[in-house]
Amino acid sequence: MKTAVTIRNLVKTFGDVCAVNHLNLDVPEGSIYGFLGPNGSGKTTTLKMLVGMTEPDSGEIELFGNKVVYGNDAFREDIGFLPDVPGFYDWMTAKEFLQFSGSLYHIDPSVLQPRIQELLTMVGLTKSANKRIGGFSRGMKQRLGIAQALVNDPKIILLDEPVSALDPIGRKEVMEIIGKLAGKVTVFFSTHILADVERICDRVIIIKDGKALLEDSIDNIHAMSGARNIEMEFENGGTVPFGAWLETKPWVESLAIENRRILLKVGDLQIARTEILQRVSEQGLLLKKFVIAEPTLEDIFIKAVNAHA
Amino acid sequence: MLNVSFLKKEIKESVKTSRILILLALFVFFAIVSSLTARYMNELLSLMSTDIIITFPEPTLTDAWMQFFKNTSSLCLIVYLIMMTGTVAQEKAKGSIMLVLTKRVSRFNFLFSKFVGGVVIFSVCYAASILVSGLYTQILFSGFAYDGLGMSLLLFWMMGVFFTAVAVFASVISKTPTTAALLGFAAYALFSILNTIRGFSQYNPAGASALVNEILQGGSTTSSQLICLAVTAVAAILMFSAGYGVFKKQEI
Amino acid sequence: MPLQELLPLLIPLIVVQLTMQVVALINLKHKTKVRFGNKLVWVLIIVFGTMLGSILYFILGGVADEDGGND
Repeated sequence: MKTAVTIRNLVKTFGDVCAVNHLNLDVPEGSIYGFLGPNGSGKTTTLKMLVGMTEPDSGEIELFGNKVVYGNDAFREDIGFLPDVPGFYDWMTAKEFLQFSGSLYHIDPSVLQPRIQELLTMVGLTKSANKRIGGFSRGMKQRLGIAQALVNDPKIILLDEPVSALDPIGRKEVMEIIGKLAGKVTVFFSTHILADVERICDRVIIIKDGKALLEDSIDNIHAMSGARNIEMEFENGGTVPFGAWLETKPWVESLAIENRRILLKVGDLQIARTEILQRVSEQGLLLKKFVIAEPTLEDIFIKAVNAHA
Repeated sequence: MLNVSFLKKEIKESVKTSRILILLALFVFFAIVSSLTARYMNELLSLMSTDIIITFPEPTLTDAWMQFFKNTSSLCLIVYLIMMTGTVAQEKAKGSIMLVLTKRVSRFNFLFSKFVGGVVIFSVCYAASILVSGLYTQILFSGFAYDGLGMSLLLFWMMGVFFTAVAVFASVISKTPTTAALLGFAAYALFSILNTIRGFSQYNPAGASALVNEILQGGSTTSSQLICLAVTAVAAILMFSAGYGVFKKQEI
Repeated sequence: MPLQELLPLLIPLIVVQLTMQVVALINLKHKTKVRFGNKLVWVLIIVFGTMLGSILYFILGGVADEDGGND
């Protein structure tokens, strides 16, 4: 498989702080690649180095086999970029901004005009095409941001936290747009929210403090983070005997009882669910709460760190 | 190959955000005020002090231009300079610079367009104010031209170009528009102080504001005017190059 | 002073000044926040400060963040 982005031993320090610490990654061409990490883990710095806005201290970046040299703009035809907070010119309309963006690439108007229409349709901004960007919601700005990143028909688009500032509806809309790009263009996007990655990514890298903790396909990660947390609570007591029963079960990995709440971690969620519910109905207990907690980014981190240790 | 798209955006932006309208109004306002105060200053003074009778020499058209240069080089130029210092700092503060520079726009193209855009805006406002001042002077004094007017106007324009480069430089090295504005103003003050040094104005990029007065009083030589013109032009180029030197390496 | 003779010369001055004040007030109206003081202070400065008040507004009140958006 061809690689779109190759990063080798990338290092960037700001004063005493090491923002990016010997980072390596490979983005396969055509994939949707999630760049996952908590805030301040070096995601934005890495992206800025990728688009040539920040100079790496050391290490190499290749885009489609061409080395990215700081200060050289030759690779720009191949990429589209959306910064974490895209600053548009508020006095322009959405259409004007796309026209302006296109003209910066010297795109012929006969090619540009139909492409702008196509992009506006894709991101659902046809109705607002002639409205001032100053009046746009964050979600609309983010969608316009994706459209402008695609205006030069790039081979890869790099999106920095495209959904983190959005409300749930805006987030869903933008994620759907990104999902639609699958197969057409390589997408490299950063986020600190695991759910974003799970929904649409093929591959993911998790970084913390500028270091890669884990790089794998989404399927493998799912398999690895198989353990799930269950939280339950009864309406009518019986918490302690139930806990005692749970302790005899082989699929329980850990168990904690806090007042009337039972918190447990199980190895096989399917079996656990069936047996617990069976037991509950046999005993005539009344469930007040039964929640299966998705693994958080933190859980996966801990797993990843433990796996590496 | 210079991409003019960004320059077009600069000009269009100044129209859409009414920046050019504000500057035009300002320049034209003071062009009118200059001729009027020159013509009626005596009347105004005698109105204010009725008890003393003071006789002044009858004002002439050179007084009108003197007022014009005084006002244009102070308030008008300062406002233009301060507005211009936002040019890069504002794009940084807003983040729009990231969207532009990650496209096919070289940093030179970006900064040079900013500079040329500023010069265009200044030239438009300046031309309008010259026209209005000429017209008012003609009406009030039945004539507008004097020896050295053309040279004075040219010297003044070159000073405007120089301060455009100063504004671009201040804007590049500042993180926020406010610091850029303060820096720009400080630079203006510094160059103005240099003008108080006797005989130095021909070597001062901002010497035009002193030199035009010497021309009006007939106490200036062609060579000193040409030296000042050349010094200002070179200073503008150096200033812009310094700004570009910083901008080229700047991590955004 | 011959006022009748002066009037046609003063009219453009007044027009320019009023334009500036109107532009400043419109600009202020669309602004969500201003620097230095509140909106009312700036309205007073623009209205009573005439040309200089308007200029002061554009420099200090913030043409600088004219593109500041509605965030």
